[in-house]
Amino acid sequence: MRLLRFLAVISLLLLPEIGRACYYPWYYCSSPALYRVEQIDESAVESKKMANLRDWQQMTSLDIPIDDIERVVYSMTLEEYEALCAVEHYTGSNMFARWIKENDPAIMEFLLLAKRNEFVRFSYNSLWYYPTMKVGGPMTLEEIIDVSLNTKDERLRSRYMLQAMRAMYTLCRYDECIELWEREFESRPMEDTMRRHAYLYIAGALYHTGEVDKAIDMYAEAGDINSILYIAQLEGLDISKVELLERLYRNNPNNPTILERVVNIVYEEEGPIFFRENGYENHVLSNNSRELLDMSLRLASEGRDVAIWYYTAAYIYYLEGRLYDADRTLMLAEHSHKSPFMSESIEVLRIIIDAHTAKLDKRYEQRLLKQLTWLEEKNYAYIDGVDMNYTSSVSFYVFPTGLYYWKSSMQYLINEILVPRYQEAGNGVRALQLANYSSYFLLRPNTSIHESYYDSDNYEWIDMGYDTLNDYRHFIYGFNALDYSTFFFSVVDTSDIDDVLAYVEGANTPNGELERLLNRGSYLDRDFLYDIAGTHCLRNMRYAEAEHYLNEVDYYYSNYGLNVSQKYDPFEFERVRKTSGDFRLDFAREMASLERAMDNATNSNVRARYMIRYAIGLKNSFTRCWELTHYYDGYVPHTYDTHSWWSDAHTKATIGKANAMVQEALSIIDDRELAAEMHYMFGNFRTVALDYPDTYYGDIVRTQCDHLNDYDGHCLDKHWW
Amino acid sequence: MRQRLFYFVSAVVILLLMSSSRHVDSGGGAISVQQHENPTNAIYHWKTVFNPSAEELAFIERHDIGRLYIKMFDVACVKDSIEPYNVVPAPIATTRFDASIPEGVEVVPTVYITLEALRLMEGYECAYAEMIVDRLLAMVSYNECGEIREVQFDCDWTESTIDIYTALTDHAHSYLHTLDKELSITIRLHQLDDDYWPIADRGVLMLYNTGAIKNPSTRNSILDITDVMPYLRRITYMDDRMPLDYAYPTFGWGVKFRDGEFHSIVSDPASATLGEGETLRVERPTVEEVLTVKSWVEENLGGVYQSNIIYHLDDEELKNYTDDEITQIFSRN
Repeated sequence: MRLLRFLAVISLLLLPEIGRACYYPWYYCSSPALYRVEQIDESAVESKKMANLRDWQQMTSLDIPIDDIERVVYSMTLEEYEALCAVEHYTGSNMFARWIKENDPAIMEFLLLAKRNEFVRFSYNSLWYYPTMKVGGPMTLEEIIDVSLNTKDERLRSRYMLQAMRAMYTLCRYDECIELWEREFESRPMEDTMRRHAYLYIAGALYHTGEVDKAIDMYAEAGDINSILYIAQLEGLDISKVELLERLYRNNPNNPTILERVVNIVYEEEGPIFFRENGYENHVLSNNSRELLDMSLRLASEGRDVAIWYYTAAYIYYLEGRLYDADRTLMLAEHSHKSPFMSESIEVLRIIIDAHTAKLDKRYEQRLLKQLTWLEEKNYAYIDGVDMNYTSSVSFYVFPTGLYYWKSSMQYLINEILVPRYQEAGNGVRALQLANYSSYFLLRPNTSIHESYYDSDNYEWIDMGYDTLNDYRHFIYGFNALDYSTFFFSVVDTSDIDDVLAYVEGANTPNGELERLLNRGSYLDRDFLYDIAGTHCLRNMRYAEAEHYLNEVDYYYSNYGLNVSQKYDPFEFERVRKTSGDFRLDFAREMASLERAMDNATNSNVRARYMIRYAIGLKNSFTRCWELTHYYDGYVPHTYDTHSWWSDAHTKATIGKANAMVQEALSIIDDRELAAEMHYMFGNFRTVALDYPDTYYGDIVRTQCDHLNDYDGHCLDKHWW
Repeated sequence: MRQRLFYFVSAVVILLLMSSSRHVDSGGGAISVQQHENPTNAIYHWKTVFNPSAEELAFIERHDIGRLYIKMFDVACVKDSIEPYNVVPAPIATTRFDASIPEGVEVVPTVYITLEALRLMEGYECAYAEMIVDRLLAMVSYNECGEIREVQFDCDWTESTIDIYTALTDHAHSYLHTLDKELSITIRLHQLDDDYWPIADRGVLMLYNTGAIKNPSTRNSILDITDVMPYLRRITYMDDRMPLDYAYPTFGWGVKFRDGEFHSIVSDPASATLGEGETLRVERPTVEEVLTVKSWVEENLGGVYQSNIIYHLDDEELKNYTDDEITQIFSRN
């Protein structure tokens, strides 16, 4: 069985996200990355269902657990309930079932009617349903209505009336629904459970009888924005989502669905920006966001939840790229009365805006130190509270999966704002320091990670259980899918070599508090960094320096710690298999040696031999033996913006240089046998046959090939030119 | 002369042959003579609750009514409960059974289909035919209406909807036959001279609601012999038409007009109050009018196939007619 260590450090649970993460390298999350408002906990508002269960508890016995009531009232099917009705003595463990069976036949009877009602109503979705057999009780909605309306049980009256209303609604008898509401429910207290249950039926009935405005008002009062939008769509009413939100908010600011909707609008706006589809600058806001901005400013100026709405407006300005307006509006939020929760959200946005607008000087970096320290604390506090069963994947810490507000804030600040700004300002080292910190600040050496292997023969993932991060790095047997696919790696892989070398050289000698903070959160493994430095040198033909750095890389790491390995001998013109643990170091040494030999050679033929070997090595290091100069040749899971180095200018120039060196080498050879050998190796058979017919290789070409024209140019199996 | 004699004798023979099986209509056209099959008196029940009063039960017994045409539900346009922006044909006004069917009375479950619903069935006639029949039979079964031999569809089809209705009844007819049951349909006067009728085993000619109710100049919208006669005179060929039963009105109402415009139907005109500018047209066919129409119909269309049917079972209406008058209406030639 062939196991591919294709992607070894992801949780199986997170596979779907992994796939998408490849295409959306940055923010993939199910909630806004940078927008955070204090939402009302819906669970704190007792649901109608819970209120109903409590009513049943009050009506029966406070000793009966709510779960038991829930089981009978909501979960039990009609069939199960009929069986309960049929048994003479209940022997089960459900206390509610026992109570009503032994003490309260009226409730038994009512629940039977209610369950039949739901059963028939469900069946009635076809509108054509009609039962075919009597079962000893009402089985049509008409009968259920009749029985319910004629109940003599005052204790259960409102419950019977609700059943009647449900059946009437299903039968489209909306006028009767409304009459029943006016007669039985309207005068009850707002918090009455049965009234709350009946409320939305009435809103629906009003709509069906043409009372659209009344229906919308009732839905608004109930906070049911979905129904309002639905009606608006049906009626062709020009009511925007935000307009409704404002209407709901003014009606009941504590309606938990309002901020939930606001968050959704912001989330929809964030997506295209953070997925870099359009970019952050000159982003055109959607109509919803534009209206939300106006609404936020309007509500804040009226003194309603000022911090929330100015913060919201500031964030929308930010999304639009209007930094000045965002800054000014956020200031208003900062100066308003705010909860500790909103203070934090406002502070994060302030940090983001500051990162965009500040001059990158010492004063800013002093602020940045505090800001990063604070964000780090918030991140750690959050992580400590997370259920590790869901966060054991290293993806949670490093990659976009498992993104949450504090992590996305930190990583957005660094990855999207500070790194590009520092690079633009010419401070590539600081950019690398920040990138490293951003990628690794949440990881700890004993972080448990989940390993999975892809068995390409059987097309299945194989769960290999858990490891610590440390163990993973040391026993990965040649495919480190973690460290060579982080944001830091993408930055360091594409940075200028001098910045990379400066960063690597100074990595363990931090200068100042900010660097100490960044270093504390960074992955500064010497093998890891020196291998990167050496590889950059190989890529830039700085072989002596490459030798220096690669010489510092542990042999074990070179063998097993990378995500690539050697396949072919780089100095062979033909494809010749070769594997070596220190393949980069070996190559660096040989190339450095050849450089020295070329410089020192006095004989042109000898020099030409060195030049040709060097040129072959150089070209192969960007083609067949690309592992010498790169860590990937195409797709790499999780890699941020995989760089297409195959076709970049540097690669083209380097290959051009190798070709030129070959031409030059061939031109300086004055030994005819050597010249014929070299031309033969490069497939220049016509040249060999015409210019060197008297040589060993000239003889081969002449005697084996009758038609010299066939060999003009290159040979099919010698891909050089 | 010999030739004339031949023609005369031939004509007499033909007429004699026809007289044994046919009536001659007033216009000289041929009409069918209907076979009496399961002959019995019949009555419509057109309320949403089946709970006949003692008087109504006594009426059924006294007049030996053997067949009840019970309207089970209407099929109308209803907003779909799942997708309210969709309007779909669906049952409404389903009759509730608060009483058992009187013993010995055959039930013909009947459905009224609105034109709007019929239009929506276009293209789906087969499916709706089965849904309607299945629901009728489910109601019959659930409400213990006894053995059913016939199902009736009632629809005021028009020229533009006859094809849809024909497709609907065609499939219902075939479907019912697989269940060993038959289909009847109602036919209104204005449909009598249509080129063809929807497919069914038999029909019920509705001899009421013959006039334009909203027209102030209408004398009696329930039954006016001057409205009926033109239709009957136009009927000339009944050979290939289905056998017919006849339904006669035994009800009345008031039609209120306000400032010359139709306003409403008043079920109890005796106690109606009229405001300024309001007039009330009291409509109730006299038994003489009903019997006149009956004789004309039988003369023109032939005797009834199974039953003369009265519309409808409501003691408040029926008490306006004597037993003798009812008997005359029920009488079959």
